Amino acid sequence: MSFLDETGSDLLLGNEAIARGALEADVACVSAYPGTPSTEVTETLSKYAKQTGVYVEYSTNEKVALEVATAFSWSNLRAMVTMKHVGLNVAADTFMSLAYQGAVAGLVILTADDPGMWSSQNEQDNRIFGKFAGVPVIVPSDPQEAKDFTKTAFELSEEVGAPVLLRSTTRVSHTRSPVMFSSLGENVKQANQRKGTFKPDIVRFVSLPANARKNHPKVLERLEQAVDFSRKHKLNRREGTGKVGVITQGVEYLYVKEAERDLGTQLNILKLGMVYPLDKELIVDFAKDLDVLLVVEELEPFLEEMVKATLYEAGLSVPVHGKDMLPRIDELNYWKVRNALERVLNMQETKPQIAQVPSLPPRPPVLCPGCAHRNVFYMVKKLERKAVKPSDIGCYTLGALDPLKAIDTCIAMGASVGLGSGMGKAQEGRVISTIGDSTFFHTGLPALVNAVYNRSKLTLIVLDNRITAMTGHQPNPSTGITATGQVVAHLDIEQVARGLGADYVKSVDPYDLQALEQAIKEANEYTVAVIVAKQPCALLRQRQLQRRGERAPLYAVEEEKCTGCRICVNLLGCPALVFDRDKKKVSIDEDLCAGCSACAQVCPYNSIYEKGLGGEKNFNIVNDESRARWQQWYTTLF
Amino acid sequence: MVYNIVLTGVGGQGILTAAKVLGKAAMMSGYYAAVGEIHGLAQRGGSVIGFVRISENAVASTVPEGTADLLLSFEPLEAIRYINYAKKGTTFVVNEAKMVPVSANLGNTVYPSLEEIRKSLEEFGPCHMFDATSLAKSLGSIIYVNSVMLGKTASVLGSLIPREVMEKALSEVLPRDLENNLKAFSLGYQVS
Repeated sequence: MSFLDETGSDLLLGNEAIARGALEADVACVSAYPGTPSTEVTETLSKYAKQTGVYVEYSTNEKVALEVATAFSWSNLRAMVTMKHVGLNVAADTFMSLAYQGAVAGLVILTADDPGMWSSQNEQDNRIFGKFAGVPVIVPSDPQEAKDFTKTAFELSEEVGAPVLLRSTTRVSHTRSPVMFSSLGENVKQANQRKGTFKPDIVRFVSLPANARKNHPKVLERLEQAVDFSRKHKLNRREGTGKVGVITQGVEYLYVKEAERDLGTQLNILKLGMVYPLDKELIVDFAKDLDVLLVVEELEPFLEEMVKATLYEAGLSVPVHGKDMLPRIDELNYWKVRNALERVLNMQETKPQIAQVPSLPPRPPVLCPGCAHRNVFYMVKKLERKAVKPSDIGCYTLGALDPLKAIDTCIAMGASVGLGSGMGKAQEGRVISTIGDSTFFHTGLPALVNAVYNRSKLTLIVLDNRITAMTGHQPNPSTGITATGQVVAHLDIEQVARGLGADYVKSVDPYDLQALEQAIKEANEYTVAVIVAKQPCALLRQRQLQRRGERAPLYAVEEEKCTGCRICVNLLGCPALVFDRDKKKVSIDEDLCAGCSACAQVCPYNSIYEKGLGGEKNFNIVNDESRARWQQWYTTLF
Repeated sequence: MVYNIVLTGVGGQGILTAAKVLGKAAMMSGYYAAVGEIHGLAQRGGSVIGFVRISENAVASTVPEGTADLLLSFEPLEAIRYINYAKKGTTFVVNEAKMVPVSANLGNTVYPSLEEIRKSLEEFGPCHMFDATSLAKSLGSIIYVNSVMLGKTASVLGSLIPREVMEKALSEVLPRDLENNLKAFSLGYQVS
C-alpha cells in the first residue's frame, strides 16, 4: 500500500489523511511553519512534492506561510497552509483582512489545536478565530473525515469565495486509523507543476478603507452561502431518535458514541461537521421536540452559546447543558463524556476504578545527550546566575528544568528577544536571551532590530543547530535546504546580526567551553551583543554519522580517578551520565553518549577521557583535532 | 468488542513504531484500529505513552483509564507510571532493562527495585518481565527492542492477531533491515 495509490485503504495518521485529502483536491501549493500537532501534514507532502507537482514550502513564519498560500489562491490555484493553533495568532493580521478579500481558488487554513497542551503554551480554541474573522470552520472527528473534509473544505472555499478554517485537534491529527482513498487530483496524478494567473482587482485586493467597506458585507454573504453548502454536502448529520439530544463535533463525537453503546441507550445526536456558521434552522428543527439537550465540546462553550441564543430567538425553552456538566479546561475523554451523559439521562454515574499511581522518580523530557544547548545553559548559569534570562519556544525551553535551570521566561515565538530588549530598559541587571535558529528567523529578527535601534543592553545567544529540531527536524533558512530538498544558501546568522547593526557579534563552538566562556564575558562590554553558538542538533548528527558508517568518539570514566562528587551529573544533567549509588562512581552509558565531551571538560579531577580506537585514553580533550572535527560537524551536516 | 493496549516507555525507544505495527496488524485482521500518539516534546528522553485500540466500531484512539487489556512497557518504571490505565486482569509485558531518569541520578528520588515493580503489577494481572534490551543487543543494536517487544506481544495476543499477520505488518512498517527485525520478533516470541 503506497500513499499515492489511486484506491484502497491504509492506516493513516490524521495529519497524513489531511495531506492525502489535499492531493485528492488537486492542491497546487502547501506552505507551513512546523508546529505540533500540525507538522506531519506538510512533512508528508514535502516527501511527495516531486511525484505530485505540488509546490511545498516551509515559510519563515505562519503569517508568511498564509501570504504564500493566498498568492496561489489569488492566482487561481488551490492552496493550503498548515500551522498549530498559536501559529494563527502570528498569521492573524493577514487572516483577519483576508476574510474580507476572500479566496479565488480554494484556500484552506489548517489550525491544529492542542487541548490539554501536550506540546503548547496554551490551549486556545481556534473555532473562535473563525467566528472572529467571519470564515467557515470545518471540524473532522477522525482520520477518514480529516481526509474527506479537507477535500470538502477546498470545494466550500471555492464555491463561496471564502478562506476556510479546517480545525483539527491533537486527538485527530495524531490518531492513526483506517482511511479509504478516493482518486487523486488530475494535476497531482500527472505531477504537473502549475503556474496560475493573478488578475488584479483594486477594490477587492487593495484594502483601502473605502474598499474594505465594500468588502465587509461580502463576509456575511459568504457565511450565508456556506450554510447552503453545508446542507447540500451534508456536513452536519443527525443520528438516532429520542427525547435526549446531543450536539457534538470532532473527536468528542466518538466519545459520545462509545458511551452510548456502553450505556445500552439511544441518543438523538446532531453531529456537526461545519461548526461555524451555525445552521440555525437545523438547530431549531433538531431541538424542538427534545426534553433535554447536551452540547459535548472540548474547551470553550462555542457551540453551546450559539445554540442557546438560537433557541432563545426561536422561543424554545428546552434545557441546554454543556459547560455546567463538562469541564472548560483540558481535553475531554470517555469518562468525562459518559458521566455527563449519565446525568442528563438521570442514570447513576459510573465511578471508574482507577488505580493510584505511586510517587516515582519523574521523567520529564530532557535535552538529548550531546545537545549543545546544555553547554550554553551550563555556562550562562555558571557566569551569570543573577542575569535576567528570557528564552523562547524550542527544545531549549527544557533549559528551565533541573539541573540546568538557566532560563527565566518563555512566552511565545520570538519573545525572548522582545522581552530581552525591554528587560534591558526595565531593570539594571544583565540580560541574556536564548533563542534557536528557526525561532530567530521566525520572529526574533524584528525584535533584534528593536534592541539595536532603541539601544537596549542585551546579550542574545542564538542556539544555531541548523534545524527546526523540536518538531522533528524540518529545514529552515539556517539549514541551507528547502522543504523539498533543494540546496540553497545557508543563511549565516552571524552575517545577519552584523547586517542588523549589533555591536558585538561572535560565532563560537559551544562544545569548546572555554571559547564559550570567553564570548559570554566579552559580550558584556557591549550594548547589543549576539553570540551564535554553532553546533548541529546532536540527535540529527548521530543519525547522519550512523548513516555514513561513522560514529562520534566515545567517552569513559577512569574509575580510580572518579571521586563520586557528581559535579558532572549535577551541572549538566546529561542522560548518558549514570551514577552508581553503591560504588559511588559515575559511568557513561555508551548507547547514549554522543561524544560532546562536556562532562570531560567540567570534571574537576580530569577523570573522563576520550576512548581512542586502539583503546588509548585521551585526557587532553579540547585540542586542534577535536575543534576541527566539531567544526566539520557543523559545516557538513547536510 | 474493544481490546485496549497501552504502550509506555522512554522517548526514542520506538514505541510509536510498535504502536503503528500493532495498528496495521489489527487492520489486516479485519478490525477497526485506532492508534493514539503524542509527538513533539515527548520525544526527548521523556516518559512516553501510546495507545492501540482494536475494535469492531470506530472509536477514539485514547484508552480510557482503568480499561487496559494489555500494558506493554519498554522500561520497568514506566509500567508503574501508567498503572492508572490498568484494571483487574490486565496483562503486562515489560522490558526489565532499566533506564535511570536524570532525576534519580541527581539523587532526588530512588528508582524502585524490579521485584517491587513486579509485585505491584501482579496485583492486577499476569506479568511477563524479561530483558528485551539484551535480546536486541544480541542482534547488534538496541534499536531492535521494539521488534522483540512485538514478538512477545504476538505470543500474548494469540488468536486475536495471528503471528503471520504481525510479521507482515512489521515488514510493511520496517522494510529496511527487515531480516534482523524479524529475528528480533522471533526472539521475543519465544521468550517464556
